[in-house]
Amino acid sequence: MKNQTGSEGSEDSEHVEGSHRKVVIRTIPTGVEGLDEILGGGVPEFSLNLIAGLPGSGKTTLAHQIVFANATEERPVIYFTVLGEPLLKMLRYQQQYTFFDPLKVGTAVKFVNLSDLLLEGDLEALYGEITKQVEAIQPRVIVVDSFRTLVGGEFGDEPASSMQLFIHRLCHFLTSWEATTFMVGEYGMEDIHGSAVFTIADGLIWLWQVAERNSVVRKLQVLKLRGHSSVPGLHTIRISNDGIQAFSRTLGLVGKKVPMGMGRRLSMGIPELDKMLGGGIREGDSVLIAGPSGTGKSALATQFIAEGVRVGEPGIMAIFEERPEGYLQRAGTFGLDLKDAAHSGMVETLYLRPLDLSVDETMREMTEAIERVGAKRLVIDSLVGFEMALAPGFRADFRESLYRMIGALTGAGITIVSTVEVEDTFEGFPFSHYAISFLTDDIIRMRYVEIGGQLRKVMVVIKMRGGNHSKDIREYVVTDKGVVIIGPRRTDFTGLTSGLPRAVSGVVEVSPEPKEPSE
Amino acid sequence: MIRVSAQIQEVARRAVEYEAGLGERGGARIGGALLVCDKLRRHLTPLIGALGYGALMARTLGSLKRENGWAEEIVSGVNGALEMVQLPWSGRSGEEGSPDPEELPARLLGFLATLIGEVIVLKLVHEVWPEVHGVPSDKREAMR
Repeated sequence: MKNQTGSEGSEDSEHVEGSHRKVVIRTIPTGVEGLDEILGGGVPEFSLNLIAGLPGSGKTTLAHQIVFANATEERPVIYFTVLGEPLLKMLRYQQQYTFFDPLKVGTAVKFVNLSDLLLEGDLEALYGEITKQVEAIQPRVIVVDSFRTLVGGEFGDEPASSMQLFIHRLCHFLTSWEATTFMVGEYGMEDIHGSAVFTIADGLIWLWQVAERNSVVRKLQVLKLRGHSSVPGLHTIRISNDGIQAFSRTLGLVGKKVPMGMGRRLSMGIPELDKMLGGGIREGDSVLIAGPSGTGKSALATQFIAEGVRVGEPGIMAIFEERPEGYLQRAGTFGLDLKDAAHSGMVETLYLRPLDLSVDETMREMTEAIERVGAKRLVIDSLVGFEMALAPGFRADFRESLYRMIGALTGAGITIVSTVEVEDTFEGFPFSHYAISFLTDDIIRMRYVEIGGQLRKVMVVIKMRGGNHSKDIREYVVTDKGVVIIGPRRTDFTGLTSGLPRAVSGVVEVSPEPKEPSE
Repeated sequence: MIRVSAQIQEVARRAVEYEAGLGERGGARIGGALLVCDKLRRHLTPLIGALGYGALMARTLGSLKRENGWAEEIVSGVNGALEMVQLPWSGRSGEEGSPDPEELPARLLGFLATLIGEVIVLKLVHEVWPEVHGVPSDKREAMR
């Protein structure tokens, strides 16, 4: 393939688009789960990037993760350390992470200490040492940690212009060496207008650590990335023994298209309810089951999963208020034996109860489980528990996060049934205190009504997006078979939605569930 | 108290032996130990800085001097470079004299291993003395 100058070009690095030959910018992996997706595939090769943030935000850990993901003996990595965290301490602490491979130290990962030269205050010598090392080792990746210390140091009588020149020379040199460079620096947002490095850098990854009430929330933002489109916004990160893990705001599901059966209806496992739903739930819908405590929301959701098992559709139950064993046991009391299905991998129960979760992390748990079992059905029981499991800082964004999550999952072909507890006021008929009905395609409302001196239960399909559904208010009971709808719609009462209906005829009520103690 | 594993001790002994050549006299062995330390200083300084190495050596030497009188004759510079004030062991053999020269690099490496782990330390040693028998020469051996 000839390029415009007539020389042979490598298809690996270039491609033809029309009559113009364009450079294909390849990427290198970060080694950070979820971050490559945020960066649009990885870090653009040969780019010069700044990893910025305040102390303790995870900058050095991120740099090390990138280093160990890319270092080989053939194409080593140079890690320049400057005044700041002593290398001995850095090695001591960083090797606690699982990504750290001590066998790479010295061969694939070469640490070079610049502190002595920095203390001597000789910029020329400093520049000379960096270039000497780079030329000798020909690294694939270069890290300067901390760049802020390097360019913010005292250099004897060197004027400020010399420092600016040094930064420019260094950045240009690093850029020209076909290495991907990461400069690590303790910067706050207030520094962004005061340093040339922000202009020169091709990529700018900012790490945040914010304490909110009793929780710490870590976030990452790609403020700038030349040559690639990254996912904008703040993304949650977590630092564990495995290093940093990033959770994209788009939840890793952007662009994922799952072929769905055209208008296929999924049974809820209750034939009468399926009829009320116009034949069942539309595949890929998000269903909200709203009702007060004890009305059978969890039973209904469990029946949805059990029906999936019956027809060979694996399911996930993300539960926030009960332990999985108890949940499965309770399902058993409804005649829904899900334990075998759990053992065979048809059903997986996710118990998500730590109190500092982000929606994005929860989503990752769910999507991984969905992929693991090939799930088509997902139950979230309940949204109230879900919200409580989030760190306080994330609760403020709960609706927005839920919107993204539901949109991403249903877009991937998953049918979601969520439960939400609402208080029956006997004055109104609220669907949810979250005002999230716009997030859901279908709403089933359950509630208590007082009839004949009993607190009975009724349900009604409030909404089915894009489909007709029954408007009947149907009475139901929760038995050892789960939720069972009984009788036709009630035409003998008005005001059922208020919970305090009035009889319109002199019908003698027969209790559907006699509860008198036996003699 | 600096803990030194048997493997580090053995590696230090072999490195000193190598640098001391065939000399078995105390003077030759302490010379070998000083050479080992100097080679380690040159190799480690680009990694951890002169001040970092100097601090390591000061700590090592301090520990050694508390238990070994002969070490009083060794002084360390800020950058960890060693100098001998005199050679009190001159004329005595290693067996009859108290000096146990490999203890110096052994403690230095042991201290380093406490901080950054034995695997990395053994790798670094191998980079300096790849030809010394007994110094781990491949990854599997280093991991052992």
